[in-house]
Amino acid sequence: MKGFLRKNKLAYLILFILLVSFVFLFMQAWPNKQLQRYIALIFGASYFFWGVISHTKSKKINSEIIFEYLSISMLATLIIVLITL
Amino acid sequence: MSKKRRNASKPWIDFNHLFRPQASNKYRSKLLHPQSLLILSFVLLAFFSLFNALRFFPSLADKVLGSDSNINISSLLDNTNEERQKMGLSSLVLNEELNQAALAKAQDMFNDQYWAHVAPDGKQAWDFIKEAKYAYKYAGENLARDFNNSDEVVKAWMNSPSHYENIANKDFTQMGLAVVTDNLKGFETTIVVQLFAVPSSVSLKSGDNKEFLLPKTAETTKDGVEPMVAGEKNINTDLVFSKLNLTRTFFLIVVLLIILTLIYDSFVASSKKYQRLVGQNFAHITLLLTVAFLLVLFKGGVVLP
Repeated sequence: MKGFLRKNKLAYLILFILLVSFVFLFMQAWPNKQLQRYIALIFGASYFFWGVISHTKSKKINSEIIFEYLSISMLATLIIVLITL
Repeated sequence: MSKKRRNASKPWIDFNHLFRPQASNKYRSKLLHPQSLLILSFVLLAFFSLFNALRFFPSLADKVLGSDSNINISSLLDNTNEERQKMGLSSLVLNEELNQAALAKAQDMFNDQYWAHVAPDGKQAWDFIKEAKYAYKYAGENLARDFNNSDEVVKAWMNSPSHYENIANKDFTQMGLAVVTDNLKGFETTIVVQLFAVPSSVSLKSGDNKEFLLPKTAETTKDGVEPMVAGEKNINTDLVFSKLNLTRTFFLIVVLLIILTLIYDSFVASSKKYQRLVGQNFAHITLLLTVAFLLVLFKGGVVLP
């Protein structure tokens, strides 16, 4: 695990910044649920692109992986959007 | 014969296939396949839609859904005054006529099934103040709904510029509050009405000498059982499930199930040294933990501009 993180430290640093910014912005946006939904959508899309880019850089990518990132981003975004409705 | 017996005893769901990476699922837990994740998304959507459809079956909804709102007038008053004191402003005093006006406004929203500053018949916030025989020079209205407690209501108002403007108005000297829980569009909802006013006998600090100013209005919402009146303490002892809590719990179960499957998948794949090309489980776990964290911390409530 440590070796894996060291090898992908830039990618995981970006992901960490992305996640912390998302939590911060999402909490700051309360009680504006509309804004929270927009933040969730941007976050979901960012995670998808993060996954695709990081896999492209490591040259370990196929359509199944793209579809996996798409489906997990959609699921995470859907949960956040539905809870704000 | 023995083969037939083995098939007959095979469980309906093959848990190994669903959770354990093996040859039958291309060495990746079936639950983590994109198709399974999409099916899970549809299940979540179906649950949410069915749950919202409960409003069309009031008898069933009453059995399942409740409210866990714990908002009371005294803490709303205290929290509002605390915020004003932080700004160096004078404390507001509860006025009985304004309380009655706030109560009338809340009941009107339930009677006519609307959520707005202006009633469908065009009745404005200040009409309720006038009907309560309160003579004002300047007035304002803040609305909130479905919050769990008074702290959240006041915090939400403070976070919204239009509501903040009413709370931070140095001219206001009196306040009216009402907390009413009833059925709004199929769901038990707790509505908070906060009215601010300067009695007509008082001159404005801002130097504005207009005799009559229209009230500023602002509304806020969140999630939220017996109709409440000003001054009454609202503690719900027969707690059932609130809409938000039931949805949140279901979603959390799904998220935790995927997290545990990701951990198990990583563990089996690394211990068996499977060579496979899949997404990064660690990144997915981090993402889903963030979602779980937000689900736990999520505070309902919406501010309407």
